[in-house]
Amino acid sequence: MNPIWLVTLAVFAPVASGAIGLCMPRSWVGTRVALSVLGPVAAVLLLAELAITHGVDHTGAGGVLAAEWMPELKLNWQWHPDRFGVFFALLVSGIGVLITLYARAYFGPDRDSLYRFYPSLLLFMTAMLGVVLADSFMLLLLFWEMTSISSFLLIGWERDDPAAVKKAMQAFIVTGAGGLVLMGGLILIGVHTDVWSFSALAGLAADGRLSPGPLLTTGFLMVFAGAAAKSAQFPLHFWLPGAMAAPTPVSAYLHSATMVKAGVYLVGRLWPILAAVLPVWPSLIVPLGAVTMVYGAFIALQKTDLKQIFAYTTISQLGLLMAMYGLAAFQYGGHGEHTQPNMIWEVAQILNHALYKAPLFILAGAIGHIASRELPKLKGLFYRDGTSRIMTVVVLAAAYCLAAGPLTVSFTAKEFFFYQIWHAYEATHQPVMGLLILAGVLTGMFNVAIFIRLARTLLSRQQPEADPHEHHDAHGHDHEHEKGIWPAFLWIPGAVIVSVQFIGGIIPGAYEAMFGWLEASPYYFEAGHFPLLWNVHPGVPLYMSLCAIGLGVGLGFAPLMRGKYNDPFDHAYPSFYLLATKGGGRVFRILQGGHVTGYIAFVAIALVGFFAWSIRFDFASLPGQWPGGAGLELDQLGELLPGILLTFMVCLTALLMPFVRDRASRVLILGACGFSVTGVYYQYRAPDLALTQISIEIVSLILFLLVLSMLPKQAPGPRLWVVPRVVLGAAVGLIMFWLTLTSSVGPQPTIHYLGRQYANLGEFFLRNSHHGEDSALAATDHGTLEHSELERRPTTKTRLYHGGGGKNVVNVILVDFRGFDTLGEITVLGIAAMGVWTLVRRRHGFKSPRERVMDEEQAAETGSRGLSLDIPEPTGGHDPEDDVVNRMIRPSTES
Amino acid sequence: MPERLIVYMLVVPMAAAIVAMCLHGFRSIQRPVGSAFLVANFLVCARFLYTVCTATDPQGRVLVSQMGSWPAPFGITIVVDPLAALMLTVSSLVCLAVFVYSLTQLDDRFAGGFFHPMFHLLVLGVQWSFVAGDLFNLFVAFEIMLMASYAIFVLGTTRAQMRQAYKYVLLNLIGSTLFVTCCGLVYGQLGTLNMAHITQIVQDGRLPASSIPVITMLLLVFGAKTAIFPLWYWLPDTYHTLPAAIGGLFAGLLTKVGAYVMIRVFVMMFGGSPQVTAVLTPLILISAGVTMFLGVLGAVSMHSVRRILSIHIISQVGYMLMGVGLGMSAVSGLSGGAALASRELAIAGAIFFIVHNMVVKCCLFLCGGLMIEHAGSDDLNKIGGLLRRAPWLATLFLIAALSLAGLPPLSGFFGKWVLIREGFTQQQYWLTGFAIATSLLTLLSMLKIWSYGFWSPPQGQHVTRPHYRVRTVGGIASIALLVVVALSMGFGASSYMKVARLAASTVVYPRLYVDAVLGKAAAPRLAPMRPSHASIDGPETSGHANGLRGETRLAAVDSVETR
Repeated sequence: MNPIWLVTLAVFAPVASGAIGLCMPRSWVGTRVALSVLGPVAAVLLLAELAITHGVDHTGAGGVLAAEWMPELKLNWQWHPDRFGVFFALLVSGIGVLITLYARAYFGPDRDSLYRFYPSLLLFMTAMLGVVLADSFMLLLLFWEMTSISSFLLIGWERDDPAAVKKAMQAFIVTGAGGLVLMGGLILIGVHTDVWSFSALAGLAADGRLSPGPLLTTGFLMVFAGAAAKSAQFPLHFWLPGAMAAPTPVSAYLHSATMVKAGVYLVGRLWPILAAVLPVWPSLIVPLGAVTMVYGAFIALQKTDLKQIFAYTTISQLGLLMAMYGLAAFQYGGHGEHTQPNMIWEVAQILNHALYKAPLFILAGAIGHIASRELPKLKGLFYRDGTSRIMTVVVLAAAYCLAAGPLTVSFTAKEFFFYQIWHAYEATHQPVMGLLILAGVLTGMFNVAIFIRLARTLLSRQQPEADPHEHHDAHGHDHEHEKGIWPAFLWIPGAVIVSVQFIGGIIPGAYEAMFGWLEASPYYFEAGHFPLLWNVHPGVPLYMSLCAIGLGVGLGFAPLMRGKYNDPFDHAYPSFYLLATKGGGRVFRILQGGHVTGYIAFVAIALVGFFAWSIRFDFASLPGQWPGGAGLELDQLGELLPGILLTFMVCLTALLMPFVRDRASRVLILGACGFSVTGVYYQYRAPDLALTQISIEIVSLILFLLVLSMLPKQAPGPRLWVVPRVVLGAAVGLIMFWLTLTSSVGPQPTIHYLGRQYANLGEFFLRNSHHGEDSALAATDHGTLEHSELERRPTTKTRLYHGGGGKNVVNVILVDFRGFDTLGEITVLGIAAMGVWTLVRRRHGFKSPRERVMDEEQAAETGSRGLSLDIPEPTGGHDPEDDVVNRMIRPSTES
Repeated sequence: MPERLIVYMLVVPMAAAIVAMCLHGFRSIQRPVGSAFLVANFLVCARFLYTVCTATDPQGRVLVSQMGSWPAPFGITIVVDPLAALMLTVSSLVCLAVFVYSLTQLDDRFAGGFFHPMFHLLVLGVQWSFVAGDLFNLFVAFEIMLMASYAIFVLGTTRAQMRQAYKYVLLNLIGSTLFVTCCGLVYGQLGTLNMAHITQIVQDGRLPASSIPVITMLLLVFGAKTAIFPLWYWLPDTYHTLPAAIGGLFAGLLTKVGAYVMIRVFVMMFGGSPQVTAVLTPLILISAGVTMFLGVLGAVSMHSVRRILSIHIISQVGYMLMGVGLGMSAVSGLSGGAALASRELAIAGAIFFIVHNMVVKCCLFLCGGLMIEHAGSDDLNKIGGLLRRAPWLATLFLIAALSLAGLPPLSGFFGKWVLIREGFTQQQYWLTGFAIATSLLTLLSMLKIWSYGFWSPPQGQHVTRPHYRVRTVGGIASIALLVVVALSMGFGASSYMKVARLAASTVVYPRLYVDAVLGKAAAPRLAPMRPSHASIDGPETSGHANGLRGETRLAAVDSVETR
């Protein structure tokens, strides 16, 4: 089969099986389990088929375009099934098979939980497969966010539990923020380099055409921030312990083995491309990884809940993997003559973590099922019954790998890491690297101590005091323990996975046969062979391991560091949430205070500000733009005097308004203002306007007086800020004055139409209102308008020929030239009439009993203030709108 | 279809309004008739969108009708170009969905009275705004839209509603006053109101320098309609008092009309003048950043679904504004062709974002309405556990909410991604950073509704009573319709983006528009138009670096005449 189809089918097989499962009745439990297992199994088989028949390369040049989806948006089905990607894909789908079986045992035959669980899990599986196989930036981003969504849905599994809901939000916000920053980074890199896929980027790097610069560095930093959020790097690690609110199959799968490795994957994907180009690579990633590594292991030692312990060791291990890629930026001499990147068996190091962490979580859930997850309550678990005995053995085997004990893959992988540290020290000879050695030893020490404590507790001869209250791993329901084969699946998947650790540790050839072909950089140790324990030659790395084991055993037995220290970052998200909601709301409410007077003031300030900006704050130049001759001839004064006086009246009345408190006087002053405007119209020969204005003034004055009679007698309370208000109002008035002045006397561009010239539209209206000009025909004569053009618009010709047919140009404009406007204005009037009718009808109190009840409810709702964070109803003082509103909605019978 | 039939986009809603008014009091007839009219309206709009997008001849992409057959610029012109057609189609779809929703979900107290004619008149106002080709005519269209919204506002006449309606009317009246003043001022400056004609004057370089303050005032006017910083005050206090159906209609349409007009006026009409863009672009970009960020801060701080959603409108307007600003700015670092391509893409992103937001925001409001139906309140402190009670509603809400938050491959992602890319291309790093931070807080606000409304322990009036039935079939159907459209915008973003780019190109290269409205013979030859319509397929192929402005100047030299 075409490799592209293999990849595409492998990615979508899980979600397809999940979707089919959603359509099946809830009672088909067996079928559902079989179907859900089928999805990841199909993915494994398809990927194996791909690897066997087509081989996987490690050059990174395999970016292949399956199909165009949105080429102009750079989002295409473009996969990158190289060794690294296929390794992750196999990891995801392989562990996925076991987790699907484990989930069946974990939830028991609870059909509702399984109905809900499998689709979410399978959606995640597809998303994760997509992340590790996508080549196009945007495709990666798509699947990346999909993993966040499915993780959110799974962490919030206990949807009735507010704590779990909060943890789900926390995880989504942190990883979602990472996703957004990642998007920004990828876009920045894309804009900078003009390539939109990893393979193309690698091609650029291979050709040496990838120029480092601030843009590329910033883009990388943003991408790394996204990866760090996903992979729970300090100080963004806090979401991962919170994510333990999810059911244990989810913790075992998403939050230890797969999803949290997406960040590591991304950094690993970029390592061959960017590490050599960007000097920031090691200096950022190594310290961050090292701090995460030590910090996570340290906090893990303090915890008593199994899942919390393992979550923090996961953080630690993720830090280690990041540091591994950071160190890989250095070069070292190696055994031979040429230098090579400081990276030893990267796949083995990544795989190692999954191979012990998934079993640890699986067993944590299993032990929680039969006993408890709290360490103090697990004393002597080994001696309780057969099941607990098996589980204890498996969990201790996995914890032995966590401690990187000899004869496991884990031991070898840790050796590799220590070699990398040592090589980096040799390459740079910086004393800072000494700190790194210390960090490595400390991490190892903490892990060993965790193993020792776990072993001491589980194998203890004491039994805890019986506690009848909730000792089960609660997952939303209580069910009887099942009979049959399924309960064994609580531990079998863990045992299967952890056995690989020991097989690989004892028989290196077997490990190499299984996973060696996925290794992209099998450097070091006997020309690329996975080493036996006794092949490890003495040197600083071995001494580091020995130190760690020795100190760890000591610490494990010592009564030190037991639950004394809590992770202060537990408060990070709640603080952010409070800051965003409370603080943000406070900022917002400075602007949105609830008072309409304030709003109007802001609008006026904006008007003044916009004007000032539009003239570039160059107020000094304004007088120079004064249009026309500034000098007034004295004989003109008599002609202008009435106009000047009336304008003075208008300004005076407007300025008086804010100073007058009495409502009646204000209405009268407003009337005076309006009538002065009427006078101005009359004075400047616009009698029709004057008539219109006068009727409007009379009507509105009467209306105002009517409203006045309904308002309370007392005047509004003391008015603040009178002078600033007057200044602001005057400024707005002056700006409008200035704009009108410059607009009405400045030169206008002329209009050419069909060979004629018009100063403005008005001139055309004047010339055409009655007869109309023979413009169209004239234009044909002039040759500016071709006959074909005339025929295309025959109506234009006839209309122009006839003109408007009226003697009053204003009328013709209203009903003919711009009759369409008039249609709209009539409509506006009609709507206004309907609106008023609605209000009047309400005022007269046509209310059904149901409506009255609704009114009361509404009043009760608005009446409750107090705890709400919403915009406050204005309190204190007396708002004018209060009175109006009161009057408007109170039925007249009450007044 | 004959060009002048575009007037049907106004005739249909107006006829619907008249019929609904005649049927006043017969709600059982008003409902099917209204639905039929709205379906017809959608079909007409979609038909014209199809016409303008598939026209083989570039001339066919702009449909013009001269009202009363008076030739432009003297009469009034209505124009349907790809931008207007896209807006019309999506808005008519949103109207249809809201109407269907209101049939079952709107309380009698609101649905009685003049609700039906008002609804159709609001649709009329919105569609009129999209097709208006004349500045004053646009004012009239705005007035119809606003007056209908005032009238709808007072239908319910609750106390909270009246109190907020007062603010709404007052602030919008101030805006309208400024608008009509600006129309007068523009006429005084330019001697014309026809948009195509003004565009031509600007392209010819004949724009008087003194008109720049007037154009800045226009930014104030349209900014107030679009609810940008610092002019948004009418919106956050008012929308949450409305019933969900009406709130959804307002949220889906009103501010988006403002955003559309901003593109039409500032990008198409005045975008050709370097002086104007130099003044307006900083204002718009700063305002965009503040609008999106403060808006989302306001939204996450709220505790009721309708309040979160209504304040969130502002934040989303910030993105549209960012697109408009990027569509106007000419970056010094980019060469002429690349700058134009980047402008065009930014506008396409803004258009896509507007269209996405119309659908998704309306959809979320409607979801909020159904949440109230189920829980009796939309205060997140008082409700919870709706997932179990209404799983379909929850699913639809989650899809819409994640679309709004812009997670790929849902609809919100693509508009955002184009805007962020062009932001980086134009080196607006701070603004782009704000855009990213805003989308994080958007996600938080949506998760807040989801976590406290749909998860969390069940509480609320009916949530704990599994046998209590509420009528939500019509509501769910209309929400599902909108969600399906939103999903198609995500998974088929490519085709939507093609239309958006077509729309953007007619705005950024207004030659076609001017030619179509003014007629070729009348208009002095401007700069060459874009090479061919084939070049919309990729930014690389668009070799339109043929100096739009330079040639414009040459052509304009002899036509600079003054009165």
